[in-house]
Amino acid sequence: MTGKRFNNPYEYAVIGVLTELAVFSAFLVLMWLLAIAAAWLG
Amino acid sequence: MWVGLQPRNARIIGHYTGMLVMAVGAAMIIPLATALVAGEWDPALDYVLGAGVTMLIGALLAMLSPEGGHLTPADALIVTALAWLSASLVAAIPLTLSGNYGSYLDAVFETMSGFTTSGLTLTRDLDHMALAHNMWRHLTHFIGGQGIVVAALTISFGMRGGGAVSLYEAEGRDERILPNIVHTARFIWIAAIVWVTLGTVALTVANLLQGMQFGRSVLHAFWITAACYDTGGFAPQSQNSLFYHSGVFEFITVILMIAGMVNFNLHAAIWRGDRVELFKNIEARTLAIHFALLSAAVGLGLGMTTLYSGPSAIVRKGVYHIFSAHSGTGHQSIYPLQWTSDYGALGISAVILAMAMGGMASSTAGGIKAFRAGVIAKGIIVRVRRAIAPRSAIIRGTYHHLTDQDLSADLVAGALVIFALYVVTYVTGGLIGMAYGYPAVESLFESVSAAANVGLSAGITSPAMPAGLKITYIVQMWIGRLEFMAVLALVAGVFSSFGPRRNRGRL
Repeated sequence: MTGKRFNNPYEYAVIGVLTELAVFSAFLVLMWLLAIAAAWLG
Repeated sequence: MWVGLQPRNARIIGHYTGMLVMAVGAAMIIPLATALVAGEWDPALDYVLGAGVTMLIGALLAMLSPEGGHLTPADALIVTALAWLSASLVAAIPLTLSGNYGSYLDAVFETMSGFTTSGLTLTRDLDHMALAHNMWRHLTHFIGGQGIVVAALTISFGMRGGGAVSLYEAEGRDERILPNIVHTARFIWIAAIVWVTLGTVALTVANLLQGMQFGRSVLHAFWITAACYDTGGFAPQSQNSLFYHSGVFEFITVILMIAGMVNFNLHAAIWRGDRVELFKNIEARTLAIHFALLSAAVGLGLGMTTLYSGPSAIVRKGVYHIFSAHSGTGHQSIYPLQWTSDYGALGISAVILAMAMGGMASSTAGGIKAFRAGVIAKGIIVRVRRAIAPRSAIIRGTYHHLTDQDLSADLVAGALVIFALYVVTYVTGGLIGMAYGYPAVESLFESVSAAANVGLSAGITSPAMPAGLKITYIVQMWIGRLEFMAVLALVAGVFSSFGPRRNRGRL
């Protein structure tokens, strides 16, 4: 279903929320690593 | 041309403001039910009285123009400004009666902080507050975050057509996600219900694992979730998120904060299956860059401190607060005085910058907003490119926000105006704090926190602070939430109506 667009957002809500959860979590972990790396380098 | 308020317009404005006030009165049923279920009889009486007075005031206002009427865009701006103010004034009635506030002013501060999803609090003895009052505090976040106007639309108080659209736009949600305004409001509510349900379940499990009782776990989970998703910042305990001492709790709350700071249009795009939008959107890109810079800065800053230099502290005390500040939530896991005593200059600077910037437009976050920052940055790049390009070259700026769009000079100018108004508000609040004798850094911190609707506190916000400063922060939270224009329209309308006759109708 990648890239498929739906006119009605509710048709895709479950996968949409799971996508958001995955992206937000990955982004948060990336920021953790960045901050720890900055502290270590500093 | 300045157009003053005409009596007929004033009555129509009164009608719609009254409707919104009545909606707030109706919402008091929830804390009343909480009180009845929990056997809290005194708080129950507070809400019976509060709801009664609120409904009476709302009905009297609504009767100014019983048939309603068409709202012009200018009228809608004024209704929006009055909605937040009047909602805070009436919602404070039961809190004043609770005994947890030193005065009516303190309770109004609390409800303005709640409705604007700020999170600064003047509650006394919060740890022993009645469940009903805590429910009401957190409900103000939910109602304010979802938008009082959208809430009123959703529960069908009869606003339809042009008036409803004007109200919706005046509230700062300038884009319609779905073709119909009622469908847009419904999407905003459904997205909120999905996220709040997920968050409540996850935090309940986290609380249970920490050994909390089931009922308390559920209530705390719901309140904290509502506060995070609506980027509020209230918590049922005086130590805020520090009370929970849990990395799992902090992880879940940060995810909720991110969900809360995301533009509703972006949520809708992802829900439609358009994942690429997340990576192309100007707001998402701007925020990613800003988060990366500030996370690195806070890591570097805390690495130089003695208390928070370890990896765990950098994650849980550093990055946690960057997300809390940037999203406009304001949950904090350190004591207020530690900002200046233990956090280090670079760390506190990063947090202030995160607060000032805020989240995405059309979300519950406050501050300057990533969209404006992105547009201004693009505007600067276009200017520089034009300066170094040959005279015959045509340099055109574009950006991606749902679709590829041209960067007009008008758009950049509009973003710069709001940016300037925020900066002036931040600095003015800071100077007023200093005038009351508070240190410069704490004053600026608290001022930015109030105007950007964040809720982090460096210790100034307390029941003992001067009344003048309480009023300053109330005004900052109000104008910051409505992004100036609605409040400025109200002031201009009132001034034009009562000003010298020769000025009316002239530029």
